[in-house]
Amino acid sequence: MDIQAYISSGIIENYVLGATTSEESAEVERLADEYPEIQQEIEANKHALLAYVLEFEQEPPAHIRDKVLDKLDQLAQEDNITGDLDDAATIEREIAQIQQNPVRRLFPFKTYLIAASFVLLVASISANVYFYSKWNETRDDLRSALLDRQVMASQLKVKETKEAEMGEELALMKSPRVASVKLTAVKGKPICSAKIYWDTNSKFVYIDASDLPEPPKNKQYQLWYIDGENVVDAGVFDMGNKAGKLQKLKLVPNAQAFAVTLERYGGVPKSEGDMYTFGKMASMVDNQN
Amino acid sequence: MVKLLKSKDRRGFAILYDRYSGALYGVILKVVRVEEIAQDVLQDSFVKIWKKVQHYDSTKGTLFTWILNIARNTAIDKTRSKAYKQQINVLDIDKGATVMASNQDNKSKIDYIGVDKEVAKLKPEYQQVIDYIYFKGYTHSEAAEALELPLGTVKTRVRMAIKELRKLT
Repeated sequence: MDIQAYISSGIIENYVLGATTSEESAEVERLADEYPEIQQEIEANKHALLAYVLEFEQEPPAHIRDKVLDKLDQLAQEDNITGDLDDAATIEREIAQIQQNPVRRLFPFKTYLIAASFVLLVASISANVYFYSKWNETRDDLRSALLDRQVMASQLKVKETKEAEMGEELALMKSPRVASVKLTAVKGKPICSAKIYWDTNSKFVYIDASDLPEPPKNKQYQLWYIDGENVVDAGVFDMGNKAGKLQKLKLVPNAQAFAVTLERYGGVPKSEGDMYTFGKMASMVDNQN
Repeated sequence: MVKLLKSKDRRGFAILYDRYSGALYGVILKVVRVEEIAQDVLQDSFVKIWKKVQHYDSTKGTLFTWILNIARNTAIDKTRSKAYKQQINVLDIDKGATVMASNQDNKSKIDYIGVDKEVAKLKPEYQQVIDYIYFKGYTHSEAAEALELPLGTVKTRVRMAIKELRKLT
């Protein structure tokens, strides 16, 4: 069998994404047992997907925890759960029974020896059972510890990225070569505002849109800059989770004022929608802080 | 840990919740997109974990992968229910009508929308196929239809998406 061809067929990616039929999945699992390369490929893909999934991690509201655990308590009462059959007490009871029965029947003849060997055998079996379950437990613990480490590493990575982003934003805001302009709500619009940061060196403009109202689905805000008589597109920007971040928009060679309008999704070459906020540049001297 | 869960011990499930509810909730939210529905699905998922944990086989994969799949499948099943589709419609109409009218409680409205966190590292076209295939549970042909792409393109993108993810981790 050509393993490389199988690996590059794409079936493993689909298996990891849960997009294979149950027959296909069974085949992948069977081949994974047979070929370590395939097993490795599955693990690597799973790991990558897991790291991606963890980027969406979000804590549920605190009160949900009690709700969920109470629900499980309720289920436990309904089922009248007494615990797993394999628990330690049951195993011990079983062993005790095994030990009693054969010994009594073999007693009292010259069978001491046989009885003793039975006792030894039983002790050995019970030790095996005990160590096997210990080993299983340890293996599970190890797996879950390794997984925890992986989860934590991914969480840390996400946090580090966020922190780096915030650091960059802060540096930009504080930079002496960056001019800031506050755009305030125009008459007739709800109270809102936006803040523009214009890098006078690179000429790129950035917007902090956290105080704008969320637009309808098919609309998007667009930034314009006013240079003399001209009103020029400076790019559209996103709301939702991105509103709180500085978003880099277009190059603005020169501007005296900025305005935000609500336009068709994707933006328009010439403004058609309502203006929401507007702000004039202060003189460059004032912008030195 | 697994043993604790199999004996249906409350402490075991509390630990499980504390460790993984964030990851599970994130995935569920990504699928159902509405916080209050996601909270119900989270509870349903834990009920399923509780009921099915006897059948969990640690040789077939980690506990986390197993519970993650339960949560994802429960969420996907939810999106296919009639009640969900109705609820989503109501919320959409609600949102359109009220968001523009008042920005006073802007923040509380965002709860209904705020799902897509920024995952800047993965290209949008790859995020899209993973969204449809993994989070929404679409088949390749359903995804191709929804995205208006040829089936072959969807298949290629799925492969490339995972490849990219591996480079990023």
